[in-house]
Amino acid sequence: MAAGWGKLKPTLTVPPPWLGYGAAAVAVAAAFAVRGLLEPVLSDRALFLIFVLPVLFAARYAGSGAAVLAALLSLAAGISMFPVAALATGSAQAQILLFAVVSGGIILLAGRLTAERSISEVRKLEAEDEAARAHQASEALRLLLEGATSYAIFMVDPEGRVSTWNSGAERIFGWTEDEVIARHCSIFYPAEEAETAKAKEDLSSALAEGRVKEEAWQVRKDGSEFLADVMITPVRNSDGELVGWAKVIHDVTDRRAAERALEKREGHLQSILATVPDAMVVIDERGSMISFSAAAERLFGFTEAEVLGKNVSMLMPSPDRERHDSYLRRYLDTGVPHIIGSGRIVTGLRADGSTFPMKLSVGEALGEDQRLFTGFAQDLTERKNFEARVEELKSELIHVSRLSAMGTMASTLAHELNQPLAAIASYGEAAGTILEGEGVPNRELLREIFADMAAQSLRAGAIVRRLREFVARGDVAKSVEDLPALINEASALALVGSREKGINAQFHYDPEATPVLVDRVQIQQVLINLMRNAIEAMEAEPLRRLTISTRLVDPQTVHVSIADTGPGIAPEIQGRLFEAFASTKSSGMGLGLSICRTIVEAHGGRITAETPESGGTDFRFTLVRPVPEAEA
Amino acid sequence: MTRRCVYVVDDEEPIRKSCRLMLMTQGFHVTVFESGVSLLEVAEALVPGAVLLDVRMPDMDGVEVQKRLNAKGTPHPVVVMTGHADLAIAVAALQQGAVALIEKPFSKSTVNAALNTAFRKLEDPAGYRVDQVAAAASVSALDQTDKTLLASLAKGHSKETIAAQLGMSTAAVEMRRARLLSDLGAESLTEAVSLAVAAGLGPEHARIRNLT
Repeated sequence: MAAGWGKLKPTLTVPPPWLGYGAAAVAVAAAFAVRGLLEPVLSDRALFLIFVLPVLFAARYAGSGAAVLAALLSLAAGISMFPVAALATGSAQAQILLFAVVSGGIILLAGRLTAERSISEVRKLEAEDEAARAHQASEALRLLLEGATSYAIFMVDPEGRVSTWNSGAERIFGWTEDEVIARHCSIFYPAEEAETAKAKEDLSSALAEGRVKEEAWQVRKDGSEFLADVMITPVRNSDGELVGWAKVIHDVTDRRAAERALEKREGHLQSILATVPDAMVVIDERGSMISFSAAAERLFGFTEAEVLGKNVSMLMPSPDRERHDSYLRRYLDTGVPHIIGSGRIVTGLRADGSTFPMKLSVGEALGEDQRLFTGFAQDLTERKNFEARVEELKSELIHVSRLSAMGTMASTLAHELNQPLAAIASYGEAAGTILEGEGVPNRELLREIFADMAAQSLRAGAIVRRLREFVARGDVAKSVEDLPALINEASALALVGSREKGINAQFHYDPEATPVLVDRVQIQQVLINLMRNAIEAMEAEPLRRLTISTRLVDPQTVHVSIADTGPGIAPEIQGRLFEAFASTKSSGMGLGLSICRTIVEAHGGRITAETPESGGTDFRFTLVRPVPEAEA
Repeated sequence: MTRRCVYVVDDEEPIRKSCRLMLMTQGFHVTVFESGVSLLEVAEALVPGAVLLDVRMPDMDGVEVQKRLNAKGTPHPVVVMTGHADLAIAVAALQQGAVALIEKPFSKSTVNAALNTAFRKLEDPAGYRVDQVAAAASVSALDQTDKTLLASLAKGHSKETIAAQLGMSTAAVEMRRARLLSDLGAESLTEAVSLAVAAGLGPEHARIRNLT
């Protein structure tokens, strides 16, 4: 037997060997004494008969060894009781032999009996042990079933009647074990499910398929219904005979309610996103798009399916298209936001290749294991068309727009200018009258008149200069600005509608040529002015390419170039290009370039117009780059 | 005939001096004043003559000077000089009885025409009134749209505003304005506005417009 059986080990009562042998000897001695008492009656007849008893006793209770001892002692005792003379007789010898044979037979039989009894005892113990283990296992299973309170687990017999019932079933269905045992399991089905029919169908299909698993409505004792995961498994005994079905039922109403609430929330969010007028695009850290709202589909002309998983740079024209990945890396590496958290005007690219200005606001969301960026894009085309017109007007009539904000200033200046002009006119008329008169003109008076006229002209000029300074300078608020961002924003405005005109705009930024110390609005005014001029100039040209580039000339000077492939500058106007009222345009007052020069010069820069040999016009101006302390 | 007297009132010396020269060389007797106040001090003692009055002056503006002159009952007809964008003030001056309105800078012929009107009022009040009635007649002969246009112009409204008021394009307003001026025989807008004011059109009419 294995040691692991522990306390269940069968306890076979084996007396110590010495006790058996002693008892055998005592038994033989007792038989010897009894035979001695019978001596006068029996003489030497049936001398060994009584000694069979000790041998039998020893063989039964003390084992074969003790029986052999008892037989030998009995033989010796018996022989000692024969008269010596009688030993030689045949009768005596026959008695001795017979006793020996009988004793041997007893010992053999007893040994056999003992062995058989031991085996049966072991078997009995083993059976008891088996039963104990089975009980223990079933107890564990019962506890398990009872413990599974969120699951109803019960058996139905081959007729479909409930045969077992756990506490989970009681909790879920409301039936106690006493109430429900032996009732048909159809009581758990809703009335409309054809009662027993559905219950029987389920049992038979479980039998046919080995298992039925479904989500179904179940009925409680109080008649209320709940949605449940139902599993039915047929149970067979070891002979393959059907003993019933096991049913496991889990109430999923709460789970489904939670799922539905989640679905509803998601649906709600989706509906919000679908109606938000701003296009929403969500990207991951690598720039791959993982969400693309309905407004984004309308704005960019792509469907969500077309863009999901693709890089968001496909929604941008050059140069952002090539650089977006590096923008993203830069942010991930440095953590310094450039666009995140603040809105910016950028250019978007539609599926049909056209571009448009948009206001982009980017937010960042840190999820459990990933970082997401959400971009809201607002189409500025409509607004920008309007604003661009305003900008155009402003760049042409910037002085007027500035002055209109200060109406009194405007009329004061106009009045001031008219004063010297009126004086000059009057002087001129007077001089003319004097010269027309008879006699010698008063030369002294004429000299005085002309001197005054010259002085008044100079005064008028001074007023015009003051006016221009006022217009150009305004409230100059210089700040350190990122040049590419500044140019991108200006170009988003200036290039409105340019793609439709077949203009190909290219940007080449020197990474060193930034930042610049400027009044952002004024320099953007200059950029917009020059870009719109370039676009207008190229309208009738076969090649329409606008190239905007930046270059670091020296650590403190940045060079900006706006080059077009237009007809170039007429030689007769080249010299006074930047003077006021020198327009070649049919419309406009020719103030644009003069204002540009005033602004650039007010920034400590210079503006020139070159006519490259390759054709077109290249407007170049310089800006001041603030030298970082480290470089200074 | 005695020399006609002209009193030039302007706060700026170059204007006073150049005007004086221009008018003197044509035979006018010119006296200059550097402010409305200095004119008013002696106005009653002056020989009746034309006042060439700047409308925008620091101490007292031209309109106020006119009011004071009117209050004193002086006979001097007033010609108002105005800079650009002073139309509203000019209209106010006209309503105070200014006989003409001239814009700086002005030519000799412009100032002479204005002074002629002034002296006609001074020397031939009956003839001047006939002229006024004729002017008023030419204005009243205008159709309603032209009257509205003229009133709006007198109010100093911009082309765009008038276009919106009349429900026509700015180009149409410009064309109509040009035709209106030629119909009235006016050489400039100020002249037309003078006529409008003389005809009693202008602010009153504009007020009616505003109510409708």
